[in-house]
Amino acid sequence: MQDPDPRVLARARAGDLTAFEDIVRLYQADVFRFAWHLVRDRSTAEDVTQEAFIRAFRFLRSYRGDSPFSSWIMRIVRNCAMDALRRQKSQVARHRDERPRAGSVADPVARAELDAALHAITPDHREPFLLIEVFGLSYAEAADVLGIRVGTVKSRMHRARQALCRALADDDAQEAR
Amino acid sequence: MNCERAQAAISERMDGERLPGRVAAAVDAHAVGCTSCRAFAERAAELRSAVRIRPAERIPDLMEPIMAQVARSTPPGRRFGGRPDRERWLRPIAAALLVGVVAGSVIVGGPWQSGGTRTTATAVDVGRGVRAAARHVEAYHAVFAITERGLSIDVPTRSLEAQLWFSAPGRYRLDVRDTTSYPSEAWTPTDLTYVQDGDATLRSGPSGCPSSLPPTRCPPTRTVTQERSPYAGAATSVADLVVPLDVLANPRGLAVERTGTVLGRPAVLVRMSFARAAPLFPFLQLGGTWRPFYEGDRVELWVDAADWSPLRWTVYPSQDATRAAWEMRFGRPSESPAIPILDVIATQSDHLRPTADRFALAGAAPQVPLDDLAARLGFHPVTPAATNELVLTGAAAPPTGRGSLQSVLTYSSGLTYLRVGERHRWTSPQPFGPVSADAEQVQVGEGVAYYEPAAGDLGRRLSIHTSDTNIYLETNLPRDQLLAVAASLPLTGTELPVAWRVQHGGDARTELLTLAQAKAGTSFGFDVPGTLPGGYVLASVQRAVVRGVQSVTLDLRQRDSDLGAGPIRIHLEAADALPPAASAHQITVPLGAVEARWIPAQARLEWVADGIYRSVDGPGIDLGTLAAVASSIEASA
Repeated sequence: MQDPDPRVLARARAGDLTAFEDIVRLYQADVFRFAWHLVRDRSTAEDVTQEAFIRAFRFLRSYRGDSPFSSWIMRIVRNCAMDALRRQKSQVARHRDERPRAGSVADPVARAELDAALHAITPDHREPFLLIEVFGLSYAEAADVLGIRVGTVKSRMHRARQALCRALADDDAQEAR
Repeated sequence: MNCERAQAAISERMDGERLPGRVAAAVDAHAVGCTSCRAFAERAAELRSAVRIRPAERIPDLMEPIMAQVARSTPPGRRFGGRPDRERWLRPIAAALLVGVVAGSVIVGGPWQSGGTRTTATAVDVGRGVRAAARHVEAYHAVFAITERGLSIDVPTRSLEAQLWFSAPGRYRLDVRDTTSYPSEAWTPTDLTYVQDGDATLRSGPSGCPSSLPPTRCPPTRTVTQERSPYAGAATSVADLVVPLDVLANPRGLAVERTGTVLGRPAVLVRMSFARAAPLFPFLQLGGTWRPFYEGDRVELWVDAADWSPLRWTVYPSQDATRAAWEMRFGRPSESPAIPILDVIATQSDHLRPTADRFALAGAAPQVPLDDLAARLGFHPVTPAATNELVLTGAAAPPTGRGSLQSVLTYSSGLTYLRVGERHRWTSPQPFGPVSADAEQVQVGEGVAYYEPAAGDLGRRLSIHTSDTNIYLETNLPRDQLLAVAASLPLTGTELPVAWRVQHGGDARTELLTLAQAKAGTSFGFDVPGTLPGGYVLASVQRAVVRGVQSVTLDLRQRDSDLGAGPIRIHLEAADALPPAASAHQITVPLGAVEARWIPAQARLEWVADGIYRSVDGPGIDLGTLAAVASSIEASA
């Protein structure tokens, strides 16, 4: 994930809405994707995405630049997603195993398998995997988002990889039978 | 070392962590003998490709509700920049897309909605977009994940990471790091570095390995080349990774497939042949070991519709029947056209200016103020009055090695450049600069100049000769703009001296002529073929007399670029029979009433009729097209 142009960021911090639009444009897709992976429900992910940007705008002045902007905003997304899940739990328990609708999907079967594997691993393992492998954060940045130590990120990332490799190997083996 | 620790280390290395030397060596040693750890490394690399390369999901466009809420939550005194409205926040995208390249996808719901399958873009629109973007990009940094398949049976898949930096004007750096887990230490990783600072370049990488040798037999030596070229030359070699100007500026040979979203960005998919896409693969030329590619292989390029940077490009084996012959010739297994053999994907990018030390290179020619340059040279270099809004960014007097002095002025804007070289004393019997003797003679103002299309590492070039001086221009501006710049120079080019155009050697005499001159003095009739592939024009005519036998050669070149297909060369000579076969592999092709011989290895179609031998050579051009050219020659004979 790329960080915004510092000049754009400075303007957005000063309250310039057009600059903030640039930031929304830059992160909207990644924020939605991360939110969807955390809440597994499309409409909740949309709510989380909106809430995350509104919170980001509100707290932009408190962002001091001591961590990359991308990890700062992903931390907000994660907090919003956790709040949404807590709200859901307190309401009627519901579980929708929904996937984002495919736009231009070259190999829907492979993608479905990957999504299934990704959601078969625990959230503790899934989050660092998504942040590092899909969104390109470093161990230190992922640790910052998740509020855990770098060493813990390393070991969770490794466990996630092992579990996913095993799951995909099992799928292949079943297919071969 | 046990498997658990080895796999943890493999995982860390994949994520860019630097392992201590001892640990790295122990992991590699363990992996050599451990099928489980090797399988883990392969699976993890496949997993990475799968998650990074999977197609874009449908992303909702939430800009409007977000900005509406943000505006509501902001006290009026604090906000500025006006009330956001949908039209305004689409404007930057629409402006960047230029001429409505993905206007279709905006209209049907915004580029963020992905899956836009309506294509309103044409190859011409894409060309305009990249040209405009190339002028404005000031800095760029990107990380690319490269996956190569089919290097060898032992190493079916390789993973590499490339990192690119650009800073205008004219500074580039490309680092390639090979992250493949090789079966043994006998393999040399393809770690490469390329740095360019103005006219100085550095290339460093493992010495290339001939395809006839297994990669494990190649000694792990590194080649480091540092050189200076007063001409742009290598300047274009990695520039297409910033904005694919060389590949996309000329619409010929491109097919715009559709628009969509890649890596969360609005993007345009363009399809072309591997030969046409060559500038997107500069790393293949920098050394190390790479699998071979067939020039007709299919390349699918997703280019960012906002800043025109390449987001993802993939090579698939061609379905062309001639690929099978190529596979046999190189002893390669048959490959499925559905499975990509090379994937390059931009995993990160930004437009922040890299620090100057990224490009630090000893030996770059010192830049001097224009006035000092005149004092040093003893003459005022000529400057064009019109530079197409490019500004002077460099002036140097690089040594020529022959004692005479020359100047090189560089004008640029973003990636777009124009170089003007000048030398008063120039005695070589050919145009000044890297322009060949058979370049196309073109009209410039009241005078003439010699033009060559872009080819390989060189841009479009023009050489101008006058009785006082010699000028060389090189640029990635389009041909008509180059000619306009040349027309604004305060001089009038003359034809090359007769002594340069006529060459003698033993019993042979060759001369460069105009078509009319050649027709007038040749014993047999000929003309420019009535059928030519689009974009080709007659560049030069050469007549030779060898031991009393007359022959004529016509060179036909593309107007803009040699990418994808080189010159077409037509040769005619008095003869009663075909010469001995130049290759064992040949095919007979009917051309009206006569039969021609097709030699694929030379891309040559040749036949004899009415006492004249005729041949048409067209590297990179398919047999059907060449046969149509040949038929039109035969029909008019």
